[in-house]
Amino acid sequence: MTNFFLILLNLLLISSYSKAEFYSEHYGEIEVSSTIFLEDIEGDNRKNFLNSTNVEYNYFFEKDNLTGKLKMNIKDSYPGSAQNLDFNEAYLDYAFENTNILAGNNIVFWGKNEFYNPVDIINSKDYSLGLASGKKIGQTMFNIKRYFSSSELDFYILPSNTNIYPKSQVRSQQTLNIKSKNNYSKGAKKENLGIGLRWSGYIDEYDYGLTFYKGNTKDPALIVSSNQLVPNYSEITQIGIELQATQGDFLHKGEFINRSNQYNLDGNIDDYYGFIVGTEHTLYGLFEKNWDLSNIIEYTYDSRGSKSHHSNQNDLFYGARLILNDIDDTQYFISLQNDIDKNTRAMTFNYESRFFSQFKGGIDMYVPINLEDDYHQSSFKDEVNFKIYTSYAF
Amino acid sequence: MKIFIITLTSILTLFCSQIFAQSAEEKGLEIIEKSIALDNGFVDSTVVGKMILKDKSGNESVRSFKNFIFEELDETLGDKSIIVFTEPRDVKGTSLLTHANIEPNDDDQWLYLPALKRVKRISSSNRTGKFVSSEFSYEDLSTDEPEDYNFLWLEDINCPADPSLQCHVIEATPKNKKSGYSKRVIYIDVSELRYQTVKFHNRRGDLEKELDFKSYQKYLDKFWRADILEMKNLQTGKSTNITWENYEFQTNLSINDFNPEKLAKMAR
Repeated sequence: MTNFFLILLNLLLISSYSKAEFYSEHYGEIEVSSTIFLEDIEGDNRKNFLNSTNVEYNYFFEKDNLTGKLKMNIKDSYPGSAQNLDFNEAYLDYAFENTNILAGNNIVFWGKNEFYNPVDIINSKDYSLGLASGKKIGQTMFNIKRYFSSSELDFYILPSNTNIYPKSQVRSQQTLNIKSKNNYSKGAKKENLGIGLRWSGYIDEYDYGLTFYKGNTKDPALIVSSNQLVPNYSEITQIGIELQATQGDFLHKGEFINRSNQYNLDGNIDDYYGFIVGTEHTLYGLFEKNWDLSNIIEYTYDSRGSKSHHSNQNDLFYGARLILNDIDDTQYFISLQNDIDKNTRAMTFNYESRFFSQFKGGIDMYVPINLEDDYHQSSFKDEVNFKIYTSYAF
Repeated sequence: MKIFIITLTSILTLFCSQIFAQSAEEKGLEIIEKSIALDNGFVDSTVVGKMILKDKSGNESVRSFKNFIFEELDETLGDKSIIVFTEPRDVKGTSLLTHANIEPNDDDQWLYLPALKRVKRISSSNRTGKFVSSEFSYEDLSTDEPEDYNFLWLEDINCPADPSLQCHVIEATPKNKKSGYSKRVIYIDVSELRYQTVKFHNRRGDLEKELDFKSYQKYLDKFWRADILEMKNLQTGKSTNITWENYEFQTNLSINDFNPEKLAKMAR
């Protein structure tokens, strides 16, 4: 991997010294945040706060048909993070006719829904700042993209990657610590090559995507072993369908998957299907002001029920986003997740606004309401917290 | 005999006024159609825009963006455009693709969110909503299509923004009930048929906003473009100025560049 980055950096430098027409730019963002947990957890060494600084730097260049990007994140936190440096985007992309060939690290989004995207499976997640704040890790890939008149076909070759989990002092967490060493079985290997395929496009007011993935799972089941949780990776095959119908002020969305060979919560291998369906509606000019209010309601289902390895097995989500349309781009977002099996609920709140032109600031809150009996989220029952953050973009 | 003359005079008066009203409508439509036709054939264009938003206290906020436009030759379809934001820096790369449609159909719009690398189809029925918190609504930024309005020529007077020019004054009443306006009064200069001023009347009929087009430049010896657009909200005291720079025409953009699948590429 190190060799790959050296090659990429050399190519970037060679490109920038070439006499051909060359465009490049640098930009980035510095974010400082502080999270405070309001309830103690007895009998462990977990901290009730998390202070973090993140510096993001981007370099982009374009010369003839070749483009390249380097996006680097340097992170420092207390308590310490399991990951301090990443290259989420570090790629070269060559375009010819209606085809692009990309090699390197990249972030990819598949899906249509807002709260959960079961079809979205290319990138692993970095949970080093808590299980509630997972961010995508750049996936090393070889990607061929072919454009058609109203659709595109993507083919990916994907060397295996793994999630990064928080160290023992970092919250939010599971009750047990998560072991840093992974378990590979049922076809999964540490060095495994996955493949992905997606055909996506639109017909009139309908947007669609058909997806296929075969390789190490990206969301391993966390299985209890020797008083620790061990990420169990298997080699899965997943077929996915995503659809959106845009009708006036309404957006109707759905994602459907069929996955085989996935570890469930009990540590057994299952084949299963799951889906998320929902509707988003926006009211414009609320109270005769310039405010816009979007209401989102989505329902998730997993055929394994309580044995599902994730928490979205029979859940209803409601979200409301209020955008004030003022010069500071102020917005509020509130969401409620309701597990229908146990009637457990958790709430989130976000406020964000811009100040002094280049600065942004905001508050995130997570409030578990009654997660004690939840199959998957009972360990978050005491994780009520709020986060204050500010960022400067340059 | 007296009754006959009165009746005849009334019929002739009514008949003449009908002809006059019809000719005012025809004249209004003809001027608008000519103005639009003068812009045909630009093929595609790119331009850099800087938008300064001011609230009534004088606080300013800046939005900068690059605008790509592709001329749709099919008259049953509208033009295609992409707006790529470069400022504020925290929204850099956020892009909006619009496939304009003829009324009463809504436009098709997709938003690219670079932080998530996500292209999302969004509702475009929001004609009255503010474009990036400015005083421009989405409706204000769309191209006038003659089918979308009833036009009425009112008079020819000196242009309010530039009294040295003579302007046609045309009232445009939207056919679509979702429009945020009861009417727009458009001032088009007689010599070059360029929009000079537009006065927007809200649904209650009150004058709400005034838009002036300034510093026109001619490109490719044919296409006029205003370098400055000044929009004032007369009811709130807020204003938005757009300055356009670096116009380029016929840049070999392809219709395929205006597909949602290509939005991430165009946003770079």
